[in-house]
Amino acid sequence: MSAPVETLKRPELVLGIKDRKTITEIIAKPLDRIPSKSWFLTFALTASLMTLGFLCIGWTFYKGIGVWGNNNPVGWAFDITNFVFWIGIGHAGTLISAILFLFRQRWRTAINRAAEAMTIFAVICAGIFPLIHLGRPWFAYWLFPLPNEMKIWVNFRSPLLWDVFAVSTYFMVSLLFWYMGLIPDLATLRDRTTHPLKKVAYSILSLGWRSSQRCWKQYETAYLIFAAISTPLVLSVHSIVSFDFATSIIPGWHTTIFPPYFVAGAIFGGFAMVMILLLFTRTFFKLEDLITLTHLENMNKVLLTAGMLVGYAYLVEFFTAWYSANSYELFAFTNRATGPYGWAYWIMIFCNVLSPQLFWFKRFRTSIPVMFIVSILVTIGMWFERFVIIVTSLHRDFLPSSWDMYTPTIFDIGIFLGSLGLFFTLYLIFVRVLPAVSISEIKGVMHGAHPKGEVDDI
Amino acid sequence: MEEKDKIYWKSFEELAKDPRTLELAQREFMQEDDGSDFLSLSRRKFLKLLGASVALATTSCRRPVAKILPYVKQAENVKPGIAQYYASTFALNHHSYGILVKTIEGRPIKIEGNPDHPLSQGSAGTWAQASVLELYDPDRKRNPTIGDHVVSWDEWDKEIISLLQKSKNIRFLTESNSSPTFKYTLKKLLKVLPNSHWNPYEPVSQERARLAFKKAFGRPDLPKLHLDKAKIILSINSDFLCSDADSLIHIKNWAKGRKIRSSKDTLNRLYVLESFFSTTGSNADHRLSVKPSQLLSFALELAQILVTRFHLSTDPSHLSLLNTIPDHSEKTVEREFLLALAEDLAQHHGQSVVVVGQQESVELQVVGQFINSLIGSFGPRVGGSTLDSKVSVASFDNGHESLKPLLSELKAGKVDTLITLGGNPVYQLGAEFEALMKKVPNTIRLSLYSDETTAVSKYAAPLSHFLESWGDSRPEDGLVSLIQPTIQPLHNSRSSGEVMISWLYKMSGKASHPTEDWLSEIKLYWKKNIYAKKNTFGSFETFWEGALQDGVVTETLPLSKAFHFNSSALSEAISNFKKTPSDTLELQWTPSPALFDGRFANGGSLQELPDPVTKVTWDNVASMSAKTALKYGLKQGNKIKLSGGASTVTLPVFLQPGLAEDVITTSIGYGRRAGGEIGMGVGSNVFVLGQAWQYKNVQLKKHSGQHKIATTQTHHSMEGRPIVLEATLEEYKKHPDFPKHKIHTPELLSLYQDYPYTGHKWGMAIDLNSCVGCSGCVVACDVENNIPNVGKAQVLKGREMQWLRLDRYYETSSENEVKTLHQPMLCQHCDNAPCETVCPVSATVHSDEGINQMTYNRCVGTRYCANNCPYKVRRFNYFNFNADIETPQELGKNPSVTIRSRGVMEKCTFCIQRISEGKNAAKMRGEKVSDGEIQTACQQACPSQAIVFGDLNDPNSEVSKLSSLSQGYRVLEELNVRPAVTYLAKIRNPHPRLEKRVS
Repeated sequence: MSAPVETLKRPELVLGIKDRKTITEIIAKPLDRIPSKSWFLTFALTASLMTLGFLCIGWTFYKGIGVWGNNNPVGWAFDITNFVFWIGIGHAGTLISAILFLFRQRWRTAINRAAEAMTIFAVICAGIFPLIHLGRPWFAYWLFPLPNEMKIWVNFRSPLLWDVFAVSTYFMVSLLFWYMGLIPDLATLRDRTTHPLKKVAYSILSLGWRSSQRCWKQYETAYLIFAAISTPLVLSVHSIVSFDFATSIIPGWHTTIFPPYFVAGAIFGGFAMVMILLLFTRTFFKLEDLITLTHLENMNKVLLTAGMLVGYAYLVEFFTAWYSANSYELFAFTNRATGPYGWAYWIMIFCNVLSPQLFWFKRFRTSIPVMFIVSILVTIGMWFERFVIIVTSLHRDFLPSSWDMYTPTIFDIGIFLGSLGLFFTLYLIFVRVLPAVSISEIKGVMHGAHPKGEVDDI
Repeated sequence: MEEKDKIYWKSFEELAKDPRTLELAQREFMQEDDGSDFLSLSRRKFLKLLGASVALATTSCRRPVAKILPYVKQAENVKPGIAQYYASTFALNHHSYGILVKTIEGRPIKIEGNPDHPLSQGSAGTWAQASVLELYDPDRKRNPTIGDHVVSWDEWDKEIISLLQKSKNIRFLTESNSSPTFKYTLKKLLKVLPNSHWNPYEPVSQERARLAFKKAFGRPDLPKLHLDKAKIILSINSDFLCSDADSLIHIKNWAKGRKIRSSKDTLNRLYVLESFFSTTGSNADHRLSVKPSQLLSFALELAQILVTRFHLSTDPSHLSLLNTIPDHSEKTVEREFLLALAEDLAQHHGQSVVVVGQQESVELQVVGQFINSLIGSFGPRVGGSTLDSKVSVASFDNGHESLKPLLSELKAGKVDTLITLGGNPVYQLGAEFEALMKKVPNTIRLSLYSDETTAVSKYAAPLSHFLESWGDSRPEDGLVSLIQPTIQPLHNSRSSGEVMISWLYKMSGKASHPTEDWLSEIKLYWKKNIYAKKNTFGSFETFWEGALQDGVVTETLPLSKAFHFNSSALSEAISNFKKTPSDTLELQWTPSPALFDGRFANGGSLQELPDPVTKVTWDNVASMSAKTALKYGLKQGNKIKLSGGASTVTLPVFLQPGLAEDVITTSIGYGRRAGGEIGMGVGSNVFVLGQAWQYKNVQLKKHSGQHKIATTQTHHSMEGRPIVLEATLEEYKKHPDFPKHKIHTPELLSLYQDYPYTGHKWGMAIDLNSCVGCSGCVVACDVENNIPNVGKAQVLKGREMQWLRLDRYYETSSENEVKTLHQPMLCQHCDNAPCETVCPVSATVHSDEGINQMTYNRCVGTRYCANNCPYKVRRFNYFNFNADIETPQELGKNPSVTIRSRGVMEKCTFCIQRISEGKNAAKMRGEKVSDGEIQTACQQACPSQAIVFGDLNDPNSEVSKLSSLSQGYRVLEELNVRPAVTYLAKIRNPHPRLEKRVS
């Protein structure tokens, strides 16, 4: 007999919990309680912000886009910055649920539910901006290729139209994917609850799930197919969003690096936002055993990688501008770093390139306060990245006679805060009515879930 | 001053604090939406907004239904939708030129130049273009008033006549008017009224020029200037290319010498010596900026060089006189300038001219005319001299000096009735005059607006606009034209002539005064004085109809006059000349290129018209060089108090390159306290300082606070980009295709086949060499295309709506010399238009005639097109900028052009309505559209004919020919957007020696 081979143990994904019932209890119990005081306080804050945002939008609809700071050279500013910002955030969820699923990254199970929910909410927030940035929002439906008696068709050459398709497809697929993943858990909730109304609701939503072998087989197949459908979307949506800029002729926008650069940025920003949400969820719902430091460390590794990719893109842009010998291009980038909006550029560099470098060290990678602060910085940095791309490119383009400055008004800021409010409000409601961690999937990565060792690739 | 405490009101409703009127008054401007109204919402309103926000998100809007009605009986000669043109005359100060008034269904909607009138030749300037908006200005005075009471004209007339008959000393204070019938009738009136006297007054007067000519040549007549005959032109503080009343014809004539069509062509050369930065200076080949007090010294030095070095005078007295001036032997930049200039002037004897600003000191103007007499400007010369020895232009003793007798009479309390007809003496003459006027027992006022003078007049009546009244004008010898009404008076108003005739008729009775209406009076005068001298065989009626139709009548010219310079004038000028120490701060005024002397202050389009040089809108500013600002510790926008003369004025600091040190310049016409909501409170009234135009020893005090200056351009350097291309004449002759070397465009291949434009292919050529930047095209475009004004707050935010703008760039080669470049920038109608591909709803598309079209109805307002436009010529309606159209403004809108709603993008259409009209007309005739038949509004207005529009598919069209010239280039051609607008590069004509110094 040979000596036993020593292998490196993979870290445990579920700590300290021995039986499956406890898992169900930990995750589903909070949904039975009346929300805590701190939940209500947070909800009051986010809902107020959301209301402020809707008031500002109402005022914009009443008076016109003029209440914002947009002007002649700077036709897009906070509106599209917010749109790209939210769309970017909406990328992490599908990335985690689909790509990590396909790559059999089983640590994703603890975080995919929250991340997917976040995706849906972020896309909802993003979806507001293309609508409200229109001069005549009441004609927004004209952006869809609707048959009409005038035989007026939309312009399929316009990247904005591609956006409409890309974002709506992405939203639909993400929503369905999320919902599908929820079905076994909804059934668990249905079976647990004694509340008659909840019973009805969960019964309808769980689509008659009986946890039979057949159910599971079809579920797993469908899940795999959805993952395969979603994966290209993760890459395509933000590529298409980047086409808004890349296909234009404005220096600073007209760049072939934009699609991969935007996708990397989206993953970066999305992971940072997932991190922020998870840190809260984990603490408030005491899910430390399910969302472990291992999970968080893995996320930080992704953040570090994505941050480096983004930093690389920033460098390459400058190199290309210099190498192209195109004076307009070179000026656009010099102006970014040294022009009147240079401060925004350097905030972006600090937050996106420098701050994630801390994650080279395990000590920081596993420190909750550090990762919280870095995630917040990255979120800020990614917002500024879009601001820098949009505003600094527009405010000084080809003819110096048209150069001007952009200053946001209280409505620009109000609507941005409102979108944050909407996002967090939706998330707060989500954690109160649906399991924030996938009950069924977590059980699949528990110690002993596969007694015969069918799956050891966790 | 207590003036601030006074309340000026524009109507009785406002005086009575009628809430509706007050609200209207406040709505006049798009206020800056800083959210204050949002933040100060009441609880109820807050809830309403909350509800509305939800409702807005869920419902769509419906426009209110408005009914239109057709004619019950079709009016004769009126075809709905078909424009009719009436010849008339636009008069301003001493000058006037022929115009064609475009009317649609009886409403004047656009002014064009009268091609048959020699002073217009088809172009109309900024002010004429804007006059149609003035006609429909809702702030015009509407009814005669006595004190606070509105009365009928009959009551008013009755009151006035009894007053006039009782009065012992009547004084008429009028604006200048080149109308012969007006003068004739006024003189009759003066005869009827005992002890009456007439004083014309204009702040921009010809008084000093007349005095200078009187001293120099014994006659006050001002000879006509022919810039087209000049090869070398020196301007001393004269803005003949922009803000002078007669600039239109001067631009035209100057531009004739700036056209380059082949490398054999020559150019005139413009030297400018000035103490402010005028539009003329911005077009100079060489410009020298000096302090106002030094102008005379430079002029004398130039005269000295011409006499001592170039021996242009044989008169020994000239030499001895000029030798008394200290010799400037040091080799300075200024000396070099003068030597080169003198050389040019001497070499082009008879083909040169010196133009001195009419507000300059008599001494300077005398020296200017002395130089003119040295260089043979007065002729005789075959082909005509640069200063006409036959034709004099209309001029009046209408300045402050001529007013002095009246002022002393007023001070002495001798005048019991003062009639102010037009003008605005209280605004222009300041508090002193206001106090004097208040002492006069009877003050009668006739004016277009309820202005500052109306406010202190007891009897006030509205004047009709010139588009509503009959009149005539003689701007120069041998040229007379009629003003005909094109619409019934909109308000209860009368023209000045009608008022005078009514008084005359009522006072003297039918027996002694045969005509009872103004038109008959004009006809009578014309019959006696113009028709009679015409020696035509036709009847008077035929002659009259011809005069009305043509819009111009030529008369026999007077005999040639001799211009012998009177040496004593020179000796007087030299003896009065003292070299002042040059270390004091000096102030120089200029007329405003937009508001002139303030009479156009209530014109929104004019207020929003960027100054051709500073690009400032809605303000007059204290322009100074950065050096001066540094010296006084000032920054852009700092408020400063300037005291000089009688009073102090507060102005914001504006940093302006190309000004001498210790010089502050500002424009008149701002700071109106009455006379319309738009003009009131915009800028500061510098007339409070006095009437001197130039002030030495000005005291500057920094005032607290910062002023926001709304400029339409915030960056002034081209950053080395090939946007406006230029070369010297010499360089151009060596490399006629120099633009091709400045922009390297590789041969661009396309996967697609080019669109074959088989019919028309519209295009434009803009000659940067003859464009002076006068901005007449911008106003023409505003009026033609119903472009709204947005107000100062919106300009500050960069949301001005003008479809056509004039970009102005500076180049500084040395500290003192600033070169200026003007570039009209409008939609380039690119064949590969970047705006078209990005619109998600196809609201902007290319026509099969090469026009980039904008479909307002389809536009949802993503603003993507504007972002992707490399020329940034698209304009977005950030608000409903047309929400404040107030009756009767809607009558002045061009019915062929849609009023754009909020949230819609708009831009230059190449005047698509004119193209359609032209094509239809040609189709009806069964012919092809002939070249030049379709003119865009900017092209038609442009006095220098720098803009040419036409069919690029027609190889013989003017635009095709210009576009293929070797100096033609397209802006940002390297982007492969294929613009339809070709710019002809600027070609300067510097003196070879001065150019070397720069390089």
